[in-house]
Amino acid sequence: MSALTFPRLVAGGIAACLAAGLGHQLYATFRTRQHHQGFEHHTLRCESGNIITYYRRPGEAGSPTLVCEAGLLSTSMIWRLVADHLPPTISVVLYDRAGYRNSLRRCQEDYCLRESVDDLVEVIEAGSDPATPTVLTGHSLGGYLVHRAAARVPERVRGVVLIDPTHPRELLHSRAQREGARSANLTMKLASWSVLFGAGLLMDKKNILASAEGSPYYRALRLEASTFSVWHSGLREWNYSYPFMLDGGQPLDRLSVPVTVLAAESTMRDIPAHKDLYEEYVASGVSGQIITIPDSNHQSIISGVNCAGVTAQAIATEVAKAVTHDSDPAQLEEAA
Amino acid sequence: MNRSLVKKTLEIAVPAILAGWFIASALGQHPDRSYDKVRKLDRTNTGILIPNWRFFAPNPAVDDHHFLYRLATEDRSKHTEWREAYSIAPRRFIHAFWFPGRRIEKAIFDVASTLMNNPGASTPLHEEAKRSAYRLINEFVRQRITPEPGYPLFQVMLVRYTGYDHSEDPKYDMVFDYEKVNP
Repeated sequence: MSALTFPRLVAGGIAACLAAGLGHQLYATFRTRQHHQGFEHHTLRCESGNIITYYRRPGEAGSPTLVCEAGLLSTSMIWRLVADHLPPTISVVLYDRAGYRNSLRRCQEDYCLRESVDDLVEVIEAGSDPATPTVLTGHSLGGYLVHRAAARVPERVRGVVLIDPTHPRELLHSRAQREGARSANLTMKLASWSVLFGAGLLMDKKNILASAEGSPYYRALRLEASTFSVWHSGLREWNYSYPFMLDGGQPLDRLSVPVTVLAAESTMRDIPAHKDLYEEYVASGVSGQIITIPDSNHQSIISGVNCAGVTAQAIATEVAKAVTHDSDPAQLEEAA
Repeated sequence: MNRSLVKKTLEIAVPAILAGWFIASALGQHPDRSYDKVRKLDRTNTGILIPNWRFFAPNPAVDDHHFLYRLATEDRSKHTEWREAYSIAPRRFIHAFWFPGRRIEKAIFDVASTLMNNPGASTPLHEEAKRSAYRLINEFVRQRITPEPGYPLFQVMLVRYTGYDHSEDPKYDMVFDYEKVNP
């Protein structure tokens, strides 16, 4: 019994904790690599060198295609609940940016947002039918990326729906956002290495993912929060986008299609300065509007069981409008 | 139960409990509060059983306080540029062991905090504390002013700045009333 001394027990306990954490991290990584059920999965080697995995759920023949882009630290999984609520007539494309889930980053250059936009453009070209209208939607940072991508392929995109999007000037515009981002900076810098060594097990995910509680994808989202790839890719994107936004980013592109913003109620209520930025997004297109999703926050607007259906319905309406817009020669001429 | 059995049980249980407690405390030291799952095992809700290094500073200071001043003409129509009254010393390894200059910086921080914390508090005690803080800061700056002819007044501004993260803008917190350079 003399073997069970305090130092030995501590060493053994720490080794056991480390093993449990690493085991959890590996399990989470393995489970989150599984493809989405009900979707065809495709692999695309992009010009950047990145190998992107995208998922397509075909709708009716000749139906419009909705391409969905996730935000920072999010993957295609975040879109599953909304996709479930979308009419089956619409073709839905989900994809993961390089580094997230099964998409591999092989680009040799330093990261910049243009790389993600370039990859997205190639996903749009590969995943949608040029003969039918394509609408882009993106959440948070993904909103900004789809807006930039829409300017790159105007001949393919017929509408843009931004879900509580990041605006390149939001840190300059709002002190609350700036201070929030500074706090997030610490989290981002520590998280990837912490998670690599199994600290994902110590993370209070119930609090972080409270908005997704009750969702059939809640467990998958919890596991994603424990994977190194999500935090590592998020850190790479954050390291570029944080100073980019502190500098005010770059002016929004002008689009010749409708731009609609679905805003979270809490964003509009707690950060009134955001309304100006959303209005700027809407004004960058030919028409569009700001729609506030009731009882939603930045996360629940897309992953909350009570909000995802409303968000999906609003997206479906915008897709239908884009189709109408596409088939109306007078409006097309006006947009041109 | 005989004595030797009790002794043996204690020999195992005591180090095991202490080791478990030590490990729980070690796991509760992550700087990011998102990783506080282990600390939630402490049902006292005080953080005493599984302490964290943030115990005495739940929101650690991340800014230095700086006092800037500018000189003004008698009619306050002309001003000099804002100047720094005291520079915060860049940190070196030796400062972990010997850093007597830190006393001034700590005093600046504490006196500035007196003005910044509880701005709405208006009890006689708070009012007196604030008046003292204003007098102390004005005197501190006055001792360090480089006077210029034609500029008999000065004004102090309280600024917070990280000093390490240059991507952050300074935060301009407070501008004081004008004071005489030579009272």
